Amino acid sequence: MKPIKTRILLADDDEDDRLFFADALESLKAETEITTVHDGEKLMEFLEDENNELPHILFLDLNMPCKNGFECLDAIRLSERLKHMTVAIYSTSAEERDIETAFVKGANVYIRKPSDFDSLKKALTDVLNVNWQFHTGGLNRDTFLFSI
Amino acid sequence: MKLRKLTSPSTLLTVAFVISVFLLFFIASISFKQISTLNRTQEAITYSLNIRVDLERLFSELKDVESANRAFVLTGDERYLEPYRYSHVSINKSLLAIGNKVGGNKQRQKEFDVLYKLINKRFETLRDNKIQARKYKADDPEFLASLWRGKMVMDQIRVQINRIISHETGILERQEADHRNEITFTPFTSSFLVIFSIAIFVLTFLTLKSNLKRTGSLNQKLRLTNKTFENAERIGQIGHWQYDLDRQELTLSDNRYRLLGCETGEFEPTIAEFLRFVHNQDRKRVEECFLKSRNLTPFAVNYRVVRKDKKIRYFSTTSQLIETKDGRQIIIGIDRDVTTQHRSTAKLEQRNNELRVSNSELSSFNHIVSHDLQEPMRKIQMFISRIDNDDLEKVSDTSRNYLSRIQSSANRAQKLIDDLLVYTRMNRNDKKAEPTDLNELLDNAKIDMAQAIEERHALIIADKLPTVKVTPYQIQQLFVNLISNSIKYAKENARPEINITYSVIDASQVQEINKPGGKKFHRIVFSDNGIGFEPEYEKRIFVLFNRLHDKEKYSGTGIGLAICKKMAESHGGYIFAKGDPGNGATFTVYLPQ
Amino acid sequence: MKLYVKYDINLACKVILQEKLEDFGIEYELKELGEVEIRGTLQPDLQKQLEAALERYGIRIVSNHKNTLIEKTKDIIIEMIYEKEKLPNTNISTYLADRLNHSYGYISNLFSEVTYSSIENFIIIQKIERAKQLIIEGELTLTEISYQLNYSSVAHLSNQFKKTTGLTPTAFQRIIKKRAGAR
Repeated sequence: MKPIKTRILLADDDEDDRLFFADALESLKAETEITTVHDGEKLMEFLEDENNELPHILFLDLNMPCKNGFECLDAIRLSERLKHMTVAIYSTSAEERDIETAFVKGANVYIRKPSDFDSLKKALTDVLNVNWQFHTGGLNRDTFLFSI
Repeated sequence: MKLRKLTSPSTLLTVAFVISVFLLFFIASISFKQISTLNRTQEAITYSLNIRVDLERLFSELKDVESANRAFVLTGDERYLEPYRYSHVSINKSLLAIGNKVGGNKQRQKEFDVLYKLINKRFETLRDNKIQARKYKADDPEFLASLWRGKMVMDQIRVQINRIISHETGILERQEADHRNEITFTPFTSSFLVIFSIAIFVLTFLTLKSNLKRTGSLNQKLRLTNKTFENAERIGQIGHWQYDLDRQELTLSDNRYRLLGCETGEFEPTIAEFLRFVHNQDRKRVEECFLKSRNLTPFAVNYRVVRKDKKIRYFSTTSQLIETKDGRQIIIGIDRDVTTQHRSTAKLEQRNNELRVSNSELSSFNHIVSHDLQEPMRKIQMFISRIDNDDLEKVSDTSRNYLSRIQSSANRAQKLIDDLLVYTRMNRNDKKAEPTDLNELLDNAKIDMAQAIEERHALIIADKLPTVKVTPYQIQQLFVNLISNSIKYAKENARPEINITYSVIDASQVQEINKPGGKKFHRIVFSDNGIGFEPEYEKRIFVLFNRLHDKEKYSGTGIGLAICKKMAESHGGYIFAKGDPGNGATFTVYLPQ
Repeated sequence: MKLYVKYDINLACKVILQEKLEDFGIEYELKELGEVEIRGTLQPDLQKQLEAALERYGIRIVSNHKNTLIEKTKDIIIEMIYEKEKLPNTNISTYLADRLNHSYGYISNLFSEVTYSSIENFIIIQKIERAKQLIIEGELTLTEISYQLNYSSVAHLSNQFKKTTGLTPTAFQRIIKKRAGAR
């Protein structure tokens, strides 16, 4: 059984956050492969390009220039090709309203950007773990909702 | 309904009138009939008497003739025959008179014919006597026989006359009897009817009198009401008008003139005059509304009026078409001078708008500041957490100390921003009150607080709470903050205990609320066994950013309880605190029922 | 429109497995819970072809004894949670040990080693999954669900639900309803 690297795509306009994210992911035991994009439009370009392999998990910031996270989420869930992708919202907002809107629009995971590195590592581990469980455990994707 | 209609005064009067008229007619016709009967009886009596007199005279004339004849027979003297000659004529006259009177009556005619024949016969014998015996001849049998025959005929005449007389008497008596009968019947009926009529008249009179009295008092009341109304109009700056659609007549109340700055009746009340006072820019609109109100749609319109003294006033008119009982269509309208209200409303609206703008500016400012502050704050924390222990070893103790202080400051700033965000969220206008089971909200609050509750092994004992119409997330936040407050200020060495009790209470029983009785409140009391606070801080504790404790020891931001107060008050409720240093604090929440 | 179907994964996999084995002309005997006994041995080539054919259906050949044991453990847990009207009150650890003929310590260690998560965690995730399903079906109240899944109270279920998913059951229910409304 050859180990498959979990492909991860991060869409975030903040350079520091991309750095933290990549560092945290690297420090995990899990085998991952990360791609980053800087805004919503670049994200959609990347996803719609059929030459690119689709990520296993997309981490999506809500507050981005050009096209915000909600708009991207809507577009993804409307696309036949993309709609089954695991989408994790990765945002500063802790507002119930944002969390609920994200889930209603079809997000699977909602992560509030943590304020220390260990919490970030734990959050990412949890996401990878729960994603793995949903994929291998035959769990119902419609109820794949997870808020950290 | 029907019965009342029948006994109403006007119906009663009509009935009495009809009965009276009927009775009068009845009495009049009876009297007329009686008088005419009386007349006829009188006539019949006179008639019979006349006939009798005539017959008596006829008989006495006959006797004269007889006696004259006898004297002539005895004496043979022609002079004695004198009356005979005259009587002949007068008898004939009498006979003719009687014959005339008898006229149509067949019975009488017959009797009279017999009498007539007998008289004729007698005159024949008399003539015979006169011719044959100029002188009394006692020995002449034929003469004697002739005399006898004369006597016989005379007897027969007498008998016949008596018969006629007795016959007439019979008739007279019968008529008299009839007459008497009728006369005895009449007084009884008449007096009965008269009494009855009097009774009806009295009844009618009484009814009329009481009606008049009532009308009088009603009139007085009406006068009073009118006066009150007039004064009310004056005081309330109200005027009214009526427009009769059929007669095209407009009537204005006195105060309607005054509202326009005019004397009562100063101008002709017509629609044109009415509209003349309306502000140029509003006239068309008012006219349209007026036309519309003719098809039974009530209209209300606000417009400006230019008074006689050229002052502009704001009027509000409400009017409606009504139909009177007699089918007339009348538009009635009430005009109010709303200038004062209009001006204060306008001012209020302007202030409200300003308030709304400044509120939303404040809210978005708050939101943006808190949101955008979060990012750099989080990054500071993140970068500090990236400095790993190995690196920390390499810097000086002072620097390490600074770093740790930077971290705790950043943490505090983060917490403040978080709390501020919650505070602004609670101010947002997306409140939607719905009947909510408070038990559920308390459970959710406990889940939100699960980590802290578990860490401190806090014990929460709650009564069964009611279902209340609230904005769920706000009340849940209130519960979260109270529980969090109790756990935060728990005694270090004791297990935190929070008792939540519930009861319904009348407003009058709570001194702090200061409201009259009758309004009921849900009272939810949170009491803990924490460190408590000095009673003098009972009010200050709810003020934003107000902290009672050292921030090194207790990590509060001074926002949590301010949020609680805001939530309770935005639901029309209250929150009060009571502290007992060293023994715990009690927070009492009142939510209106 | 949305259909909720219930399928017997075991039966579906069994049928596919039988068909494929027969396609390759392999003599076999089905044992319980994903164990197939092959008469004789498989050529490595043939085994690769079979693996490729089965992978399409998400069926992997786990020849390894450890993997078999873990798959069996999972199956037993899922069966317990999904098939039973009500979870048994007996200790799951004893139940697993009895069914698998190994000490619970051994099974538990093996499970953590292979899956990076503990059996307890797996059970919780499965129970919460079941709870989600029951909430969506909407026939049972939270009280009934917590009873069926052997939680001591609604609060206990809600706490675990929140811990596992980050959401309260009511928030979850609201989101699912809104999602259904949005589509």
